[in-house]
Amino acid sequence: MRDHSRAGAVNWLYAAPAMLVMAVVGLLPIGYTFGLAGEYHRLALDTRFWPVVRTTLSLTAVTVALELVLGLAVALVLWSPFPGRGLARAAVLIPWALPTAVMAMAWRWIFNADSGVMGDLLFRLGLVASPQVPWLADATSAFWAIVLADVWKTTPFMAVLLMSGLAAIPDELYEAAALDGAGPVRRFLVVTLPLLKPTIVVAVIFRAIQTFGLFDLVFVLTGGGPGGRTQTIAVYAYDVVFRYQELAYGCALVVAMALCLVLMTGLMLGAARGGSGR
Amino acid sequence: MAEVRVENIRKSFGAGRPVLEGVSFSVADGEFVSLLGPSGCGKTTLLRIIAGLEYAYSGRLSIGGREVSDVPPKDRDIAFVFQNYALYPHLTVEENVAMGLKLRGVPAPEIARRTADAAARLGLEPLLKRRPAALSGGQRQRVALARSLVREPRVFLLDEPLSNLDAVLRERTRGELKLLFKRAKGTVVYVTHDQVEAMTMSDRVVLLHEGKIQQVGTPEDLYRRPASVFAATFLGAPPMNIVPRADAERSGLFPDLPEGDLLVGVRPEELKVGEGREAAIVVVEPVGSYTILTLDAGGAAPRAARPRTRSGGATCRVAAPSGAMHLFDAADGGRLPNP
Amino acid sequence: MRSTLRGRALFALAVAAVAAWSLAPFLWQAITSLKPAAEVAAVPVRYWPSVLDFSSYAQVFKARPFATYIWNSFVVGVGTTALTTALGVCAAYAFSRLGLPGGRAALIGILGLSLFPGTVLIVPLKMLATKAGLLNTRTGLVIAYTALNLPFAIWVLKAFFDRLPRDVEEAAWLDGLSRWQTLWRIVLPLSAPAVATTAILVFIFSWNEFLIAQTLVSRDAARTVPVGIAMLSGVTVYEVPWGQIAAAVVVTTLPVVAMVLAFQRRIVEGLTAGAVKG
Repeated sequence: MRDHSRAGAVNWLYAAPAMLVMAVVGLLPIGYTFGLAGEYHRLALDTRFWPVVRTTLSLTAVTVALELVLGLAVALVLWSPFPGRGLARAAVLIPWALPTAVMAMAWRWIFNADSGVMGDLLFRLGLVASPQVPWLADATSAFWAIVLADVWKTTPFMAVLLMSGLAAIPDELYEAAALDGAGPVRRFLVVTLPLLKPTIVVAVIFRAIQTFGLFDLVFVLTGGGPGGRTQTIAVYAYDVVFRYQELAYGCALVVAMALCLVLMTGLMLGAARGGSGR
Repeated sequence: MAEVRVENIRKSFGAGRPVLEGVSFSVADGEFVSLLGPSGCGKTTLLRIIAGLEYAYSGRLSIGGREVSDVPPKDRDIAFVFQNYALYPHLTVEENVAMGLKLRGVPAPEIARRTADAAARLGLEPLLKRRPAALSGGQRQRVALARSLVREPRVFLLDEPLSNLDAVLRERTRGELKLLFKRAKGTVVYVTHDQVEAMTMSDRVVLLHEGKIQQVGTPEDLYRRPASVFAATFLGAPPMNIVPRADAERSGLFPDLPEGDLLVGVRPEELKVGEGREAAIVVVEPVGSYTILTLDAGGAAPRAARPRTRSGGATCRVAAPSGAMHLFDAADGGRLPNP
Repeated sequence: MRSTLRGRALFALAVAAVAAWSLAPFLWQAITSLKPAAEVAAVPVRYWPSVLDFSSYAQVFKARPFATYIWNSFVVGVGTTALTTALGVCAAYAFSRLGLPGGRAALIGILGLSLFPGTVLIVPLKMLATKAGLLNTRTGLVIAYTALNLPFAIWVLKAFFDRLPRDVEEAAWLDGLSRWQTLWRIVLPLSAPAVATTAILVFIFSWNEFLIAQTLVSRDAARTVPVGIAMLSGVTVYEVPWGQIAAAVVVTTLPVVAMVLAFQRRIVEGLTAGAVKG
């Protein structure tokens, strides 16, 4: 008998145009990047490389950790229904939806050394000595400026994912825990957190991958400065290729970044699996 | 109209136990046949194979004498009524009913005439301009039926069409359906897990269990002469009492049992309450027109049905008329001839 | 838990704080953009303009090709959205319903592809675009963005198609519709919400994209808004026109803000389907 419900291989025609576009504009360039890459030995000699990797990793770790905590708080606040929730959710989503590069300009203005509002506010609060703080001229404060801007930008995404996880937890479990005498904090620890864990794992890995490849925010906000000390791997590689015109080595940096990414994702998946095996 | 022949159909999904293990039966022109069985017995898969929505691993299938195994569903000249009705949510009732005709290039005036006719037969005229979301469950079910009737197919295939209706509506619709298809003079294959539907509506019943046919026959056949322990217990409510030979003998209800390793069956409603041996009443379950008693009759714990009028007492007398006895092989559950 | 008055007040405060934090950088741009030129960089910072002054807006449109940037972003956004949605619907339907041999592996491959940061493909992409004569064209951007957004579109749409009841489609085949007709006449009308969600998100992604636009376009004729804004600067480095930048930021982000306010629910659904399903 012939199978009328699924004609099999012929149906690939439906997916063919999409697959073709992704293959030519996605897969092919990725492969080609590997092909272009060379001068790998320079990675070992490059005094810029390891600081850049370290900056990228710290940025990833700090940003994702802060996002997780804030995202969880936002999700808990905006999850249950209340009058005006739609509007509140929309307000929270706005940072996620705004163009990163454009908002990076906005942050540059906020962190402006002469008339930036950040310095003025902190001065008024008595936290800094002068309203004129050259935030972006100092490596440490520039790093934290990037962290702040990225956390602001991507916490909504984290919150949305966590809200979907919260929505999947049945109310009965909270009710059962409450009947067992658990207060709000205990309910959060024994019901919410364990059941939210799969969502947290997915969200953290997803965000870590994105932060690790961060380009536009750093490129526009600090330009990698001061003196290249806030460069992420992506920004550094871009500079090597397009400013110094060193194609082979730039691509080697990109390849190194991709491998780091795969390694990092693997480690995180492993840790998540090991954690749940306990 | 047409005859449906199913020959040695086999089907499995993946590596597990086959869903259908060589099923054969035929439905005569204009006959109403139910495929009856518990969930997972393969009845819906079988119906979908007849429709062409699934394909069989092997076997032959013909409709009206034409081999249709390789014919696409739309050209098999069948109509299918889905369990959840499968109405197009974005089209009106009228468009839903007319869709099949339109796609077959039926001229517009004829579409209008046939749609109106089907709508009239199912009382859908006031609903024609509505969308499915604005209909009740019963109304949706009638639209699904109208959609099949309007096609005037040679065979109607129905997949548990009443299972989403409430009990009262289901009761009423049973009779209407039977009449509807009798008038349409259609060959009908009707899938159900509800023995009452199968018994009341069908000319014949195909009883399926774990991918195999247990018995094919008229409802009366299946009730009077169940071919297996499965058939005996699946049909009838409360189900037939089945006890091993030793217990049956000890109870004293069945005096002349033949030798051999067998199971003895007797339907609760055929046990005579008020005569015979004394038995303790363990549980009393009044169901309205009669009362179900669970008795302790020395080894056997049969259930018996007692007319509502009589009541009370911790014991009663019970007897099994000789004609009421069914015998089954303890090894394979098959029916044995009565002595 | 929010039954007491104090509890309610605290909750309202939390919501307000979350909303304020999300909107503050944007609002600060809006305020800056409405200041007269003399007050923009005033020291100390002025928190409210003495008069509402729209000259920054006039300037950014008059003195710079900002209208062209917006038009380019719009054209690229619409083109990308249309192409991605059309190709994505066909592919997602095939993956969801047509039993493609090797379909699962392909889907996972697509997901893996989409996790790589854009940096991995820009160098070859630029070469490819040069060869194809698509450098400095909006078409080039549309094709690149389509490839980048297809994985997301396919995953979201497939998740939706998977949830649609199959029996309606089966009824359509029995009625005599072909696969292709079933897709366009039955499945698509039923999937309008998912298609709309996908389209909204793809448009936002495209509107916001920076790295590829920066790499493939170096002329004003095809430049999009994010790159245009990041490049806004004065005659010298010390003369950054912050008022104009703020005006440009507001004009660029306002459509996105409007979309978020209008489609908050769909965006949340789309993000959840796209990320969690993966």
